[in-house]
Amino acid sequence: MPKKINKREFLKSCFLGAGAATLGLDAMESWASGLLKSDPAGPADDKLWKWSREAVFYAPTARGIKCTLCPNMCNLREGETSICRTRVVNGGKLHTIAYGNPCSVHVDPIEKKPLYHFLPGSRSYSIATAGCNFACRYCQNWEISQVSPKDTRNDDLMPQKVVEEAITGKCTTIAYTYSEPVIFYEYMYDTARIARSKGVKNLMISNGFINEKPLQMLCQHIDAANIDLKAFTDDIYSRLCGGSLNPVQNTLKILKSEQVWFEITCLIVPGWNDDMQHIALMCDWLLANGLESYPLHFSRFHPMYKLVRLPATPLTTLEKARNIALIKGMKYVYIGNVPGSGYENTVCHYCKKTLIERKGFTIISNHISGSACKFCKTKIPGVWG
Amino acid sequence: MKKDNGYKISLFLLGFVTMPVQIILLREFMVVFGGNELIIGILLADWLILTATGAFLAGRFSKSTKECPSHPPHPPVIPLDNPTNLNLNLNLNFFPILPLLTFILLYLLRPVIFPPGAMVSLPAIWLLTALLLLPFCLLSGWLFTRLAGHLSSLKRENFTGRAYALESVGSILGGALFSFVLVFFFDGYWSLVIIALTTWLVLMIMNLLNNGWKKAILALSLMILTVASSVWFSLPRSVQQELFPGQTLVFAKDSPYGKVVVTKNDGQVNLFYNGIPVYHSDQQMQDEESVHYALLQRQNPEQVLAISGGLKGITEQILKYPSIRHVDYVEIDPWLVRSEMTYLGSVEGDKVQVSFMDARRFLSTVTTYYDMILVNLPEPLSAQVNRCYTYEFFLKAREHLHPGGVLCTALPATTNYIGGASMTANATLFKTLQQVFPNVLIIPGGKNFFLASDSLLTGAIGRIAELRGISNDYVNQYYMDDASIVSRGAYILEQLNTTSPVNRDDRPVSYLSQLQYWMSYFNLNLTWILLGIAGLFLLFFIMLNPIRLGLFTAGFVTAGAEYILILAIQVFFGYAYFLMGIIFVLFMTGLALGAMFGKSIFAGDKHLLNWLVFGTGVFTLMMSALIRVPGLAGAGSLLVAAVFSLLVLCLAFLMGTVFSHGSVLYRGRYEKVSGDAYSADLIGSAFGLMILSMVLVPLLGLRLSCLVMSLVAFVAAARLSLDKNKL
Ligand code: SF4
Repeated sequence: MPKKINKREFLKSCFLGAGAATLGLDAMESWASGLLKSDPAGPADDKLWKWSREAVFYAPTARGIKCTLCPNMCNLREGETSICRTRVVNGGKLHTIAYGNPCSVHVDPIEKKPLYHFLPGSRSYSIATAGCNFACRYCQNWEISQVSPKDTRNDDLMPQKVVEEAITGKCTTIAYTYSEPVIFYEYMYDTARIARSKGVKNLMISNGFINEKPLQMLCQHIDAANIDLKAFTDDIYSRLCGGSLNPVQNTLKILKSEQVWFEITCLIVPGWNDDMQHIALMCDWLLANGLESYPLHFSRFHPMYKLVRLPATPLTTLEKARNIALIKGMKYVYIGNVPGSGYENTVCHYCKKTLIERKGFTIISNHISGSACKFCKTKIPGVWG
Repeated sequence: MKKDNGYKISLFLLGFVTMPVQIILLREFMVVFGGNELIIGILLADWLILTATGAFLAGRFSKSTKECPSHPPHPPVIPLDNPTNLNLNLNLNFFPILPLLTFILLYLLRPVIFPPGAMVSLPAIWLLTALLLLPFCLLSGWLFTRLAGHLSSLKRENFTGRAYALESVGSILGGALFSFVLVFFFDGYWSLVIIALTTWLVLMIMNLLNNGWKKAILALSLMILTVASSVWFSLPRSVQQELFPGQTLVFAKDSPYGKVVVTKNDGQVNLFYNGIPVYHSDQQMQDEESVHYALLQRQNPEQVLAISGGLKGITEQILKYPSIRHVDYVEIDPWLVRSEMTYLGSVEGDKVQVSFMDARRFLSTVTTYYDMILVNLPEPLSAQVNRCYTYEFFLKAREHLHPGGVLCTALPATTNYIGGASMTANATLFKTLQQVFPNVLIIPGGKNFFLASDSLLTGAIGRIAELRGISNDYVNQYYMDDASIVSRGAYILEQLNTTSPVNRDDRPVSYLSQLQYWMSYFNLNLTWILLGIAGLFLLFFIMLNPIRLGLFTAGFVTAGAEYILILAIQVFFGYAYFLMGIIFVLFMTGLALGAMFGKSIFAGDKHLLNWLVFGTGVFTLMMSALIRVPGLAGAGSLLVAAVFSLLVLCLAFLMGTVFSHGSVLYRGRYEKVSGDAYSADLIGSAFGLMILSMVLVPLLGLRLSCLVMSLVAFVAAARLSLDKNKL
């Protein structure tokens, strides 16, 4: 039986009809935006500078050099700049131009990352260089993520100095964050190696869009991660951020197998990834892969960057997602960006008593002792000190 | 009915339809795409250029009218009931339906082409706008040329100037009907329907009087079809819903100032203004930031002025302070507050007084002194909003602050890094505030909040929140990391360029830097766009023949001068809807009078065009002097209003005269004459609006912009004098 359509749909199909589809109107925006583009990753960016190093992951191809760091697998020739704007070919070799030149350096509470089950109440020395391998429409750090390190004002902060600064600032961790640490892999890797040798822990706050081998190598020096799970279909991933789901799922599996502590953040954007069926599928997948003990943060979207014509995520939507996750069997589900909601406390998954009471980035009380619930002695997953 | 009367009524109808359609459609486009100065410029330019193209093409490709008398008549006059005229009639009948189709397509295409909720880049807006406006604008230009040409043929004299006058009279009536009547009772779509119905009714009567009952039936059928289908498809709501995927549209209202829409999703109520979400239920975080960073600074704030930001949310936060005695809440659009009160709840108690007024107007009418002035307006992306970010505005605000009082305003957040464009925008605001207040502090939060006062300010928000005992969900000692606020605020300050210009009423630099910031979202370079526009202008200026150059220049100067006058009026009086309406009527009246009588007043001299163009230059020169007349701002508002009204009237009269005079000088077929004259004027106007609003005013300020316009007019006049023989 043919599907019944309402008056609105009828009107829509009359006007748009097959004509619009054949015209390929959806290609219009990208084409139009291509005009007048002043992409900062212009020719000048392929020159090496003080903050360049030979990249670790690449392979020669018939066309040029292929970067094998992330699933974008950019195939570059001399004079071209990568999607992430941090990699260039010079002298037949791939180089990063994001090494020792962070444009953003701050000290943040670890809860801000967010990491709730890793050294709660500690402070993290946070750095980022310009560039990203995604292009999320709601990126709050778009002024650094969508440009090349050659277009930002940067500090000169080589790995050794980062570690010293973190120690001086009494930070127990260094967070590679804000933009996308995968694209300053070599810088992160070297810093993490030195930091670990000095007793400072390393946090990677990432979109998880990285290939298997580089991730496995990095896991030897990283202590914790927060990975964004931006959607649960490839289509939304691609339209919202320019990425894909599968590599991120792989990252979560590898982190688990390499025993790196991690938490997952899912920013719910109205009209994009707020379908509860997708949330349920996502939780099913997490459970099927034995990831139920890793905290899941549902975060509230606020109109930002290019997505300014959407309302903020309703609290009810976040609550629904949280309930689904809990019903499915996730043990620690938080709601972020909603002050005063009460969903930022850690509750023992066994006895349901409140273990860590949080108000904002402040720990009001902590009832975890020796990594276990003070009340029922159940081991609480995480790294507690 | 006399044949020429039919054409005259048609020209009148053309203006009657075109003017309100322009106002309504441009409003709708702004709702769908955003309303910053660049987008407004692009929309208007698209409109004018397409209309000019229609007029020009009609002049080139129609061969139905005879030559001007000075040339041998060729081809012969075509009788009025020939097929060409039938086409003209048909086109007039279908003309009013095009805006309705454009309206519907606009709302249906937006979500199909562009991702939900996403901002659209400028080139894409330009392309889609041009595509959607193409049929209506081309046809409207085409109709003008054909009607004016036919009328000239019939009258055996060049009737272009008077055709222009007739169209202007239609514009006055159509524009006034919408702006003073329809806008208060109907939304944009139904206003378009009413305009269309009126047009068809007139066409029907005209046809009946000429025994053209078939055409009368056509008009009647179109009337019935339009109303029936609009009701059947629940227009416009059904198409507007498409803009809000995943939400249910529960209320929509077009007010004289903008479009208010209320949606619901998952129990949350969202209020949109001109397509942008402004408030929603559960937005304590934003409300707290907008209020407490400022109010916590002082021990016992009593009087507060809140400019926009959401009545319920903002005042609830303010009233948390027991010392508060009175709150003035100012919002320009009553419908915003009404919808908020209906869907988000109203405010209790009698401490809050709401005024529906432009903020600047409000400040110049009240005598109250405040402890706090909270400005919660969008960033200055347009000249109108920019008026609340200028030195003069802050000066006025300071006059209304008690000693120790605090003003709070904000720009978008620069979360972890401050990029080049945002640095300029932040630096300009900081510098401007610094000119008025000895203490300025930046609190980085959900936005960059700028606090300004004549007394000391503190960034230790967490500590004072605890001290004052105000119970907040977000602005409290738990969320506010004072050390981080201070260091991040200091970081922003360090980055700011101390040599930034001050944002002034007569040199609104802020909106240029905000536009550059907005363009950087798309990696687009504003400078290239502006240079491109300037280059094209020069090309036209050099390549056009003398008569076209005269009309082009007059169009350029008039549109530019009108833009400056409107800006100046808003600065002197504050934005007032009816005042703008009166200015519009005055302008069109001047245009009509000039086009109708200008030619006879200045008759006889065929080289007068250069003097008239020169006159526009002298006029703008006078304007530049007048803008700086000391004490004008303080003069009685009636006197200032009279001066500005006179200026608008004179300017438009001059333009009308240039048009009628210029069109007389043309040689060739009547339609070519009308098409060329009309298109040259429109293209000049398009450049005038774009160059003035996007380049000259923000870069040079009002006065110097006037001087540049005079210079352009003088150069054009000089070229006309040199090329006298070609006239
Ligand atoms: S890291 Fe950068 S260069 Fe390498 S594949 Fe990914 S986007 Fe391309």
